[in-house]
Amino acid sequence: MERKVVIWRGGPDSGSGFAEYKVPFTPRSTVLDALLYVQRKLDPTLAFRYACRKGMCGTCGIRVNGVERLACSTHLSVVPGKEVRLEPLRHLPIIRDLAVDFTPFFQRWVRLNGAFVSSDAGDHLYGSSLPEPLVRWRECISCGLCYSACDTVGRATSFAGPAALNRALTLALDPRDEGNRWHRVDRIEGALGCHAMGVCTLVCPKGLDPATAIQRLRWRRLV
Amino acid sequence: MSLEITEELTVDILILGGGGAALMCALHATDQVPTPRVLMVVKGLLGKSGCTRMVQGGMNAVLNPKDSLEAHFRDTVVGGAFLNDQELVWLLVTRAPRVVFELENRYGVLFDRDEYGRIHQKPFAGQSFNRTVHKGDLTGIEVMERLREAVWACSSLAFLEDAQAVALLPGKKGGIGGALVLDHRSGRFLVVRAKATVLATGGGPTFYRFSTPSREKSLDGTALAYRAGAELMDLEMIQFHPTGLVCPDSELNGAVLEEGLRGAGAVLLNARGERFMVRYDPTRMERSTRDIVARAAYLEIMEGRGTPQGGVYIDISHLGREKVEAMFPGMVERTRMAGYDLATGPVEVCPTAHFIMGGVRIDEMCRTSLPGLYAAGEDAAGVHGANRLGGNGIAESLVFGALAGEVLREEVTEKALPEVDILYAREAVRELMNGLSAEQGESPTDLWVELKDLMWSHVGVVREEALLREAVRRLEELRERAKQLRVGPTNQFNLTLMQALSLRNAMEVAWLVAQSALHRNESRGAHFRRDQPRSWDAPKNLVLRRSPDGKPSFEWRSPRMTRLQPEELGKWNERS
Amino acid sequence: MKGPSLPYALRWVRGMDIARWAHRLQRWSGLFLTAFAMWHSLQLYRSARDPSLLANHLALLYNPWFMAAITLVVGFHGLNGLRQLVYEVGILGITSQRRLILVVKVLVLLLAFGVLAWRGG
Repeated sequence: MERKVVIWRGGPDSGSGFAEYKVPFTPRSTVLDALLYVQRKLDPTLAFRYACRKGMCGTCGIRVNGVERLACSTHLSVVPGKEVRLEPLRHLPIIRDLAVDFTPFFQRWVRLNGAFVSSDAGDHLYGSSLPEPLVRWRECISCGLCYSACDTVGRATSFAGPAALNRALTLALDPRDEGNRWHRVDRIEGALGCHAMGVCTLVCPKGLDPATAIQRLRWRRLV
Repeated sequence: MSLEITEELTVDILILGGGGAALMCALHATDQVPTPRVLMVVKGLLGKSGCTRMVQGGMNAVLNPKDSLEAHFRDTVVGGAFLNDQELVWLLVTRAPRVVFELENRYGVLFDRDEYGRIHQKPFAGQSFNRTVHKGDLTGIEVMERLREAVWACSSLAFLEDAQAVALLPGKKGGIGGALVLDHRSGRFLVVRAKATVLATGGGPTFYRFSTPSREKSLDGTALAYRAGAELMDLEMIQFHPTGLVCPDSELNGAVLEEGLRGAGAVLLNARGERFMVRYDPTRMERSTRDIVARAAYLEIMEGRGTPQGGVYIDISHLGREKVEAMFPGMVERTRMAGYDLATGPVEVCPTAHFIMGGVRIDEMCRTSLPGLYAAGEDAAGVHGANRLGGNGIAESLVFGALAGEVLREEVTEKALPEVDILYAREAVRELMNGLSAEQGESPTDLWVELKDLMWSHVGVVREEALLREAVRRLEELRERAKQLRVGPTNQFNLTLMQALSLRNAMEVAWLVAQSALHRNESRGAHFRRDQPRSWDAPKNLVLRRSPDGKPSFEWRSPRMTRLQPEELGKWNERS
Repeated sequence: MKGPSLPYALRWVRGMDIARWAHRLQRWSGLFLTAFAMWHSLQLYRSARDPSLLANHLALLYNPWFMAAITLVVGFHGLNGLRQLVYEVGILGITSQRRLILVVKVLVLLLAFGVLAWRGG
């Protein structure tokens, strides 16, 4: 079996456009397998990211037929349509072809004070687990798919983005955290800037729900 | 392609790597004021590439009063067939609990708790006590995400992503004064001068047909250290994880299914449906150590009792679908991706290259044999001896990364910044680029496949002299062919170029591994020689160093057995 | 806490654009209504000065097609706005909103059709 794969090519010092390739596949082949086939056998200049190849590192995010996906965890057989169109993630500077620079994604996270803060240096352990769905929502792999899918991220360069805000919630509800971030969250650049479109939750590969997390951050402000 | 060295940076501590050991080293080095200038050079994305991220099982630490440091020590040394450097093992077991507290209280990691709110420690193979702390089946993601956040939030830590060191630069007064780095984002070379350089690139034996590590791994740290003339040790000790996914039509092939499965009661079956472990370790069955189980599976497959795709079956479905989905959700998902279902039936698995116990020789301060060069994590040797226990890998990375950071924080305040020879660096650039061209030469992709196939059949789970000799010879031919590689017209984020650089490092270390395996005429731990199945009475480390003609010179040394002697445990020869 | 048993790799996401479309239409309809309000006010102001203009203006406003169109726009903007409020504040969970958008769509179309039928021929 073969599929036509159309890949966006381009970079800072070259023109841009789509290039077409024919890629063989089996029921178990993923989009990453297709990309590696193109790079290894057809066109060694193709650039893209990958590392763990099993959906744990969150490095291989791209857009497949307009939808944000992890390349390593998307079977070619379920991509609808006549061709498989691969484009880089949105709202991030493009290094080359499908490889993007994740720095703005992480910088917005830092600006939101999205890191655990504690003065505790003790030799003891917290004696409880965290409540659900907090436990689930801490499993974010920072892949950037939600960030790319969010229209507001594109329109407002200071908007923190779904992943960062999801982390802000899990930190806020973590009884061990001593961080101070409500002044960053309770404004347009934080939870108040979200328009509740919910596309972030739709694309999360780990089944997290940043849209609801942001909803909770907002609700807290009203109650 | 540009041959210019466009920039020269000066730092106190240069850390090569971006995984557990590297991040802990960076965070500990900048723990107190005055903070040294630290630069991390990461091959992929900080905290995301590498193998700490991929840890599913968990981390061993003595936390329960019923457990003891001596027990953890004993398990590690026995598992390592007494080849371990016992002072390093003692550091591991004494500092691991401290690291657990630090991860939780300082960085916000939260390991799983039991129903009483106490930290949950699960059973893992080869251990006398259940001491493996974990978060679900994605402990690595939890730890790395918290450390990543801490590093990004720390304004005094600088790092370069998509960059790798291509050579260590000797200092004019001896030792190592820094590194020559290729920045893939810009395609340019830069020289980094540093008072101390830390190898934390994470080993990663990816030169086998089936291997578990992250795809960009290629033993860079080990290769750099070898070329610089540092002492390496026990390179033949490569751990094959017994249960890697069999999925030959996808890159998912070889991905590991964690040991916790066997700890929780999974059974291994051959094609006839027999629990074949009864013939290899009847007392512990599937909960035996990785080397024994991997060898058992390999022999079953080689002797014709494997599945058509060349594997055996692991089956945990007897625990019930709900329980398996609750305990191992990530793995269930992955097996479903590959067309199986861990929750309801058997999954085809086979041994897969997972970890290299050998590496750069270090002392209790993470110092290598070259002044100014340090190593921590999988790049370093001596902690695990001849075989690593599950759960000790991430423990090693975090413990020794932190240790290296603390040691360096003290040391760099007094040290002077070494001078490096810029002409050496320019020559290194020229030599590197001469062998890489846009149109001519061999394809790195083809050579990678040849390398992987050769190593799998000749230097694999079961080894013998004739095959090892042939492997050394053929590896030398491959290295010759790899002197001229075809990589396409650009330096900038060129995957083929990256694969070429990885290929050269992997080939060099593979050649050293084959020679080391040939030298060790015994079977011990993970190294099994069909023609020499017995172990020597006295354990010996195989230390090698590069001599001026490029070939390694070998030396046998006794491991530091300062705390436990083999006689104290009775004859352990019966176990392997 | 059980998710669907089909793994992520084999699931395709549909309906990404409904929420985006609703959001964009909200903005455009808001712009249109602002412009309409300004234009309408201007016409009334001018009619206060020159009463002969009023008849023309009212003829347009009471045209059934025009009324239906305005109902469509106001109706969508209003109901969608309510829907947005419900979700932004958290009265309902966000993942259920695609259905509600469709409900809004249908309601508004019915309303506009109703107006056309009532006022038209």
